[in-house]
Amino acid sequence: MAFNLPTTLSNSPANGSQPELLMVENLQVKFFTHLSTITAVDGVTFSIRERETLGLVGESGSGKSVTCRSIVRLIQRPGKIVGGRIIYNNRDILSLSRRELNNFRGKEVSMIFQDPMTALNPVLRIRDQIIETLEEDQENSPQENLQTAIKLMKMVGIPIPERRLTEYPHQFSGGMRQRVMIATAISRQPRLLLADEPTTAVDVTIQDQILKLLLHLQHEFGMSLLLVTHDLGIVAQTCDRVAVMYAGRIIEMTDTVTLFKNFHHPYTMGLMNSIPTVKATRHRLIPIPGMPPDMAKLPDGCRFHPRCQFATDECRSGDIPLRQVGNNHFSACIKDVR
Amino acid sequence: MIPVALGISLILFLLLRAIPGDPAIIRLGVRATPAAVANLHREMGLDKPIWTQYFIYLRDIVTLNLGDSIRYEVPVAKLIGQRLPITLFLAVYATLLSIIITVPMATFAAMRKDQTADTTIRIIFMLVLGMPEFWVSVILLIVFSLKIPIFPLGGYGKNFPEHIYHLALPAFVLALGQSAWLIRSLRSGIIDVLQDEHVNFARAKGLNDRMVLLRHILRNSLIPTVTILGLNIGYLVGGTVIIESIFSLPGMGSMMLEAIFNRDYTVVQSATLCFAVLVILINLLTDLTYSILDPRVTLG
Amino acid sequence: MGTAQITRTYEPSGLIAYITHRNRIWRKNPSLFAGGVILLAIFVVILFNKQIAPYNPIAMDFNAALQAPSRQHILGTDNYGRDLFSRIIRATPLDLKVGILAVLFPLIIGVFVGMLSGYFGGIVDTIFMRLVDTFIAFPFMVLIISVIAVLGPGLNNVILAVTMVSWIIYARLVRGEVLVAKNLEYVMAAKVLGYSDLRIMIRHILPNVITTAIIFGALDVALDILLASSLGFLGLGVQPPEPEWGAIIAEGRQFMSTAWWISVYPGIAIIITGAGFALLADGLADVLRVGGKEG
Repeated sequence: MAFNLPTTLSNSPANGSQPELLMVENLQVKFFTHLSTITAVDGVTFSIRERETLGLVGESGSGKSVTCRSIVRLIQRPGKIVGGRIIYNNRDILSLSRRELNNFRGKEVSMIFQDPMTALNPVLRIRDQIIETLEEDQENSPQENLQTAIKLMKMVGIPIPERRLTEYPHQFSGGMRQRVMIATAISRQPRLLLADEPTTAVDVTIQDQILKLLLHLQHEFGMSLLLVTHDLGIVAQTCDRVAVMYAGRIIEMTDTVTLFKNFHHPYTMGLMNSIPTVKATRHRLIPIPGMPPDMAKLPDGCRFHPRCQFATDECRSGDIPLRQVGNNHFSACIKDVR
Repeated sequence: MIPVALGISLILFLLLRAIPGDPAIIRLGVRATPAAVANLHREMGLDKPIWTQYFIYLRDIVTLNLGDSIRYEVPVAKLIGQRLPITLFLAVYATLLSIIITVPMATFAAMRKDQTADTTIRIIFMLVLGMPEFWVSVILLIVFSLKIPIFPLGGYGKNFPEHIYHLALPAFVLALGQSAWLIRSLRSGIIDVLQDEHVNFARAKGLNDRMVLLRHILRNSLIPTVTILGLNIGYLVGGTVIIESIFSLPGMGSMMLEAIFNRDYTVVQSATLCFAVLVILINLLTDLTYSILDPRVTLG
Repeated sequence: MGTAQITRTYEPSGLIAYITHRNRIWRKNPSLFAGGVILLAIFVVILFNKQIAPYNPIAMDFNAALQAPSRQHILGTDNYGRDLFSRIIRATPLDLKVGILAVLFPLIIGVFVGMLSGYFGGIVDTIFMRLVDTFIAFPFMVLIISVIAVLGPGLNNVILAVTMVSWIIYARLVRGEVLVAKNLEYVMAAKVLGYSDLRIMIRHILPNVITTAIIFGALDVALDILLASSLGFLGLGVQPPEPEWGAIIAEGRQFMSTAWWISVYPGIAIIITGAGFALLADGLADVLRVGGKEG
């Protein structure tokens, strides 16, 4: 993915006037194993406005996927949401009953997964996978549901949908499977779509198409989009705002333009330096030194300090909270790499 | 398929030839005249070379001419015709019961992996695995036919509801042994599928728990268990031999046992053949079921 | 003091180390421990058979017929007044003999055939695989019974029949393992170095292959004891008056309503013995497989 400067930002501008659709407050998710307890998400707070695209960026293990799954309450044993609130439309998602949850998932918030091969059931026909939730709603006749499925397949760009609906996932290519998954996820017209690394498992050539499709559908349906990715290039192309996660916490959050032009946290800087750019191929990529921390043995103080070239004694001892460093710009660093 | 069929017929042919004593004398009695014995030899084709005898035997099998029972002096094919339905009924009944036992038990255990309920179920069925079927039968008879007379001591009944009632205990014994294997397989199958992302996706799109369980968890985890089921039905069919004799059921198994004690070798041989054919058919059925359950597999 | 010195310098090795080491065996491998304890108890029963059995197991005493479990006869008596506990104790070596020999013989034949078939492949292998296909088409029990029908009932014939039928299972198992072992790097290296086939098979492949066969064999003892008692129950195994677990259960059938104990207790002996071997197999699998991987 070529890195473009954020001049090609998505068509919906970051609009502060839009009401907030989802608020995640001080979310805490722990994983309990018999050896240790790991806090995968440690006090994460952010919000998504209507029609907005929020990018959640971080290395693997930073807790971005767990955060994303928490929103649709897909955390299973040994994981558990132990603290915080997730407020959607003035309702706390964490207190929904099973029945309410089924009407929330898919209808209000839906999700697409990284690997379309494993996320689709290999032994069910595509048609059945798309319309089984519609059938459950019992709002429309089977004939209408089938028409909906055909419409959805067309919408995500799958040719001859009538025939392909009767096929199984293994008869589709990787990119087509990803489209099928998107069609399934939006079948009940959710207002928020969570996309967990939606392009990681598909060919580079397909990635761009999938992203364009997502943005197109977002525009069409007026959805909000939470895009979980490790790829800042994708963020630049698609997101209005970005939250950068490291070791279970958000360490920087602001709008995309500010992040790219005026990043504040040394970790964000590290991420920026490790992106290959079209214009600067002569420069060597600078990887962030060291490894992400062992979540069972987190360092004291700022969790990034063992890898940080600017670290001081203050970084090593005290906890560094997220604080405002500019207009709608938050960072968890006492230094300023600017 | 054809080599297997030939192999089976060869083994059975050799088995019959290996029986000590002259079949003609067995049939005519020890006081038969040499002329009568020679005559019967000719009639039975025993004077011909052994290869010819094998081909005659093959021809007889293909034309379902299985010979006469020495004891009852009726065609063996007719005996099998009377006895086979009972054994089939019992086998199908037991298989269905084993599925009824397995699916909820395995699901319950898998959903509570490593918790008390799971451990309890696993220990119980590990013990069941070590229990002799004939012993379980006797215990069940003592408890449910003698002490608390709910079920009959034996017999088959005259119509379908009576069959169901009379065969309940024997079918349960067979099903229990079968379930012990199936639960192990299905439990680990469910645990595997629970890790699959498609289950998460099904939940994420708002499918209710019942449908997630039926269509996305059970449907997928049944696939490997079908193979185990198919392999074990052969074992189950073998078990009918003992079960039928305990519960006095006039099926193939008890016929075979009676024939052994009566030295009725044509019946033993044909019953063995019949059981082998049954197992082969079950294996075909298993393959067919497998390909229906898993669209990625095509019948070769 | 002296003993403390000795224990400190004593360095146990191998299996003994495994059992006596600080990592308590029953915590590390509870299956092996439990199985070992059960089998040890059974071994004691076999060894001190006469001393343990309070009565002569085949001596009839019609005055004591069909007595319920009591202080004199802890498991009761049968219709001939024979002490059930003594009969179950006396049957132990018989059932164990069938269980163990009916595994040992097929195991030896199976390892031999499986090694040849897997190592050399070709026409021998093809014929062997056809044979496997044929044999597994029969229900195991049915085939055993029809072989016994030909051989005649009796303890030795049961062992013979099981050997004739189940060697093929071992051979198939070993063949599969050989196919894997054949491609291990050090086996390839031995081949390149020009070692003879015999040497490669015995020194390099057999140790790899035998583990699986032994683990399967331990479980198979349990299954064979079930089988032997089933045949005894049907009257095709050990012939009276010698006691055998399955046969005792069969004798008790006539008295189910009046003397339930005759049929119930021998079954418990079968279950305990079976569990012992099953646990042993489980534990061995842990020790041998994990050890093999680490080593």
